[in-house]
Amino acid sequence: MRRGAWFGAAMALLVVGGLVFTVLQMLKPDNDDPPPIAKITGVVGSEKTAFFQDPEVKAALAKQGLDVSVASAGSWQMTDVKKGSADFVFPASQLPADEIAQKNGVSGTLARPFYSPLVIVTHADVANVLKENKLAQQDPKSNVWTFSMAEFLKAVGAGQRWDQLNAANRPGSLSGDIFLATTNPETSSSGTLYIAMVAYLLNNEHVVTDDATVAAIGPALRNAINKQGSMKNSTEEPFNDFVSNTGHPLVLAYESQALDLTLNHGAPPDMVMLYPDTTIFSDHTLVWFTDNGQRLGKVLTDDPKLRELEVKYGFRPSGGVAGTEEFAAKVRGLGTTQGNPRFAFAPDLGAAQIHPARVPTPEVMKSLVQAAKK
Amino acid sequence: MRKSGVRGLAVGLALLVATVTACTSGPGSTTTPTGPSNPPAPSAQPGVLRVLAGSELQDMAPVLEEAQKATGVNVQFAWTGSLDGADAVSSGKADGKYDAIWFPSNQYLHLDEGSRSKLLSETPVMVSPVAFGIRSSVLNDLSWGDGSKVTWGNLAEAAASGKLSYGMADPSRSNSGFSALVSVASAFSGATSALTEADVQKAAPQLKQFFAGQKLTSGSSGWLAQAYSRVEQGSVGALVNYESVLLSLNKQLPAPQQLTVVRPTDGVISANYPLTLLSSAQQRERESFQRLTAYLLKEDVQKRISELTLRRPVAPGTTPAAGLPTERLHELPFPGTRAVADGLLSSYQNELRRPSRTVYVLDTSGSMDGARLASLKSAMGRLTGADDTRGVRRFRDREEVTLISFAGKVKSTKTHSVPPGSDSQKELKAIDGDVQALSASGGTAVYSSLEAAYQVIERQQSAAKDDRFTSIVLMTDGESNEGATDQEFRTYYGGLSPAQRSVPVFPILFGDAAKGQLQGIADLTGGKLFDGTGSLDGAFEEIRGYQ
Repeated sequence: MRRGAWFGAAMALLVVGGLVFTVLQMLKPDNDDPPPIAKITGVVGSEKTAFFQDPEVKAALAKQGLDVSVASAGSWQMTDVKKGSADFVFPASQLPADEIAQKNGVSGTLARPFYSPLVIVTHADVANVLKENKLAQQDPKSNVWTFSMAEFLKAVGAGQRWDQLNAANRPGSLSGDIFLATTNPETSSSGTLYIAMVAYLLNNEHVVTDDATVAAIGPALRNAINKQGSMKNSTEEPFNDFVSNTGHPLVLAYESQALDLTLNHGAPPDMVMLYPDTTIFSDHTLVWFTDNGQRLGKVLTDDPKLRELEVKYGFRPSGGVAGTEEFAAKVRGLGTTQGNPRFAFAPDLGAAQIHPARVPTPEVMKSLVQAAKK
Repeated sequence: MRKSGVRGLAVGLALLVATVTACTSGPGSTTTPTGPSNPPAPSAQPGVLRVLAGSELQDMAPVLEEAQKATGVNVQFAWTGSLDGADAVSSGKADGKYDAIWFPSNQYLHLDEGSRSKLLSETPVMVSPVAFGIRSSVLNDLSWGDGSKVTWGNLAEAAASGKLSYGMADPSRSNSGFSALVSVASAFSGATSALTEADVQKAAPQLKQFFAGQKLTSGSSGWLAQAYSRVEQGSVGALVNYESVLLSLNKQLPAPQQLTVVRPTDGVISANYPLTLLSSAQQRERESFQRLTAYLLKEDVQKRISELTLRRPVAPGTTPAAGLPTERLHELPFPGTRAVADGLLSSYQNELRRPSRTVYVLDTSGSMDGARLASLKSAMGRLTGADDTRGVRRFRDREEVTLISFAGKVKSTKTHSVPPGSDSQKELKAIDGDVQALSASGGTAVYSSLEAAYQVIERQQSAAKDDRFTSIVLMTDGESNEGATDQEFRTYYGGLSPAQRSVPVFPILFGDAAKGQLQGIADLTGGKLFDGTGSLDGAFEEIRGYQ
C-alpha cells in the first residue's frame, strides 16, 4: 500500500510538473533566448533619422539587443551634446565627432560604419546649360554626370551670371549669379566639407596646412559661399526645397540623399545628380558615451543585414572592396535600364574619374570656416 | 482577421496605458481638456509638445488633432510674430518654456549668432512662396493678362503711377512682409546674389516708389486679410501674402474682390515652415518631436496638409492640392547677415514707407493715479528709446505723433514731427518729456475724446495735404462716464468723410476698462482690440505694427 501511495504521489507530481513545464513552454516566445533589449538614445544627423526609424532597421537592431531612439541635429550643433544625456552621437563627418569625443573624454577608435560623397542635384534643363558651357559632362556609357569644379570656381570668381552662359534653351527661372546652395559651414557637416573641398582645390589640390594659405585663399572661399546669403543648418533643408521645386538651381547634397530618394520615393522626373570631379566624403562617425552606444557602432559596421539596410538608405558601407560591391549591387541597373537615362550613380568613383579631396586638421578647418564666413 | 484582432488588442492596451498615465500624471491632468488651441502648460508634461508658433499655423489644427490620435503627441501652441519669436529664442526666453518653435521661416533667426546653440533640429513641413494677390479688375487695367509674366519692376511702376495700391504686413514683425521687402530690394538693386548694404542704398529710390502704393499695413497677416475685405471697393487692389493665404482667402471673398496670385518672375522668397526642436527640450519631448515630424512627413498626411492649407508639400512624390502650380520658382537669396537685414528694415521704417500719422488718446483720469499712470509712462516711454535695431517700437523718422491727454474732457493736445536722420533723437526726447509730465485727475470721457482725435486728424490732413498711414490708439482704464455716449459717437462717426472713416481706432484694454465698449469702437472703425492687462508695454509695442 505504502509503495502504491508513494507511486501515486510521484505520478501526480510528474503530471503536475509536466503540466507546469508545458504551460511554461507555451508561454515562452518561439525563438530561443533573445538577448535582453537595451533601450538607448542618441543624437544623429538629420540625414540618418529615416534610417533609424525604419521598421526593418529597428528589427535588425532588436536582433542585436538594441532599441534605438534618436533625435536629429546639425553636426556642429551636436558638439554641445554632453555625455550622460545620450548613449551616442552620430554626426555626418569625422571632425565634429572628434571634437565631441575629445570634449567628453572618449578615447579609442571611433566607429565609421558608412560614408557618402558630396554631390550636386539640379534639374535636367539646367544640367544641359552646364554641359553647353563645359561646366559639366555626362559619360555616354555609364550615364554618370561630373561637374567641373575648376570651371565652376572660375565662373564664381568672375561673378558670372546664368544669363551670361550660352544656352539654346534657358529655363525661365534661371537668373542671378551662379552659385552652389550649401548649408552653413558653422553648423552643418556638408557645409564644412564643401569649404574643405574648395580650399583643397584653391590650394592646387593640396590639403591646407598653414595660416598663410588660409589668408591667401580667404577671399575666394568667401566668394564661394557668400553669394547665397543666409544658409540652412541641415543638409535636409536645401535638398527638400529642391525636391519641392522652390529651391536654388544647384544644390549641394549627399549622394545618400539622392539615392534614398531614387530608391525609396522616386526622384522628381527632371532631377539630375552630378558628382563634382573633385568631391569629398562625409564619414558618418559614431561617438559612444556608453557600452551600448559602442555596441551600436560595432553592429552597424559588422552586421550584414544592417549593412544591407544602410545601402537601402543610400549610404556606402565602409570596408573597401566589400563595401563597394554591396553598394554596386544595389545601384546596378538604376538609371541605366531606361532608354534615355538622365543620370546614374557611380559605384566605383575612381573609375568615373571622381577624385576625393582631403580634410584638413580640425584647427585648420576652423580657420578656413572663419575665413569663409568673414 | 487575426491581424486586426492583434491590432485591436494593441489599441486596447495603448488606451489602458493612456488612461493609467492620465490618472497618475498628477495635478493638471484633471483640468481642461488639451488640444491644439489650448495655451501651453508652464512645465513639460508627458505626451505634450509646447510650441511657440506663428499664428499662420492655426490652420493646422485639424491635422494636429489627427496627429495626436496617431502619435499620442498633443501640441499646445502659444502665438507670436515670426521676428518676435526669433527674439524670444535668441534671448533664451523660450528655454524651458517651450519645447519647439514653428514659424513660416527660420531665416531671420539663423542670422543671429546666439540662436545657433538654441536650435537642435529643424524639419521643414510645407512650403509657400510670398506672392502678390491682385484683383482681376486691376490686372485687366494694367494689361497684365493672367499675371504670369509680371516682374517686381512692373509692380513698382504701377504703384508709383497710382494704378496699384496694396496691403502688406509690417516687415519688422511678419515674415511675409520681410520676405516681400527682401525680394523687391533684390530686384531693384540689380543684385544677382545675396543683398549687401550698398545694394539697399542703390535700390532706395525705386523702393520708395514701390512703397508709395502700400495703403494697408498690419502687425499680422491675419488682420491684413480682414482689413482688405473691409476696405471700400477699389481703394486697395492687391495684397502681399503667402500664396497659401491668398488662395485660401479667395474661398471667402466675393467674386469682384478675389485675387489672382502673381509670383514675380524675377524671384520670390518661400517660407518652408520648419518645425524646430529647441536644445533645451528634454529627452521625452525630443522623442515626441521625432514622432510628430515623422507623422507630418508621411505622404498621405502631406497630401492632407496641402489640401487643407493650400501650401505645397515637401515630401517627395506627394501631389500638391488642386490649384497649386507645379512650375519651378526662382528662389531669391535671403540676406546673409543681421546687419544687412536690420539695415533694410530700418530703411523701410524710417525712409522708404509712407510716413505715419499717429494719434494717442490717453486716459489720465483720477483712477489712473499711481501704478497705472507709471505703467503708461513706461509703455509710451519705450517708444521713444533708441535701442531698437530693426524698428519694432520707436517712433519712426517722419512720423507725426499727437498725444491727447483726457479725463472728463480733453486736457491737452501735443503734436510732434520726428525729423529724419540724427535730429530724430531730440524730438523723441521731447515726446518722452510730454509723456512723463502727464498727471492723473478727473472723470472719463472716452467718446468725446475720440471725436476730438478725429477732429485733430482732419485739421492735420487738410493743413499738410499729405498721404500717411493714419490711426488712433485709445488707452483707458475705465468706462466712459462723461461726454458723448456710445450712440452719439456712432452718429458722429457715420457723418465723417470716407477718408476719415478709414482711420481705425486701436483700443487697449487696461485696468477696469469696459471691454464691450472698446470692442465696439474697434469693430465700428475697423481697428483691433489689444489686451494691456497682462503687459501694457507689450500692447503698446504690438500696435506699432499697425501704425
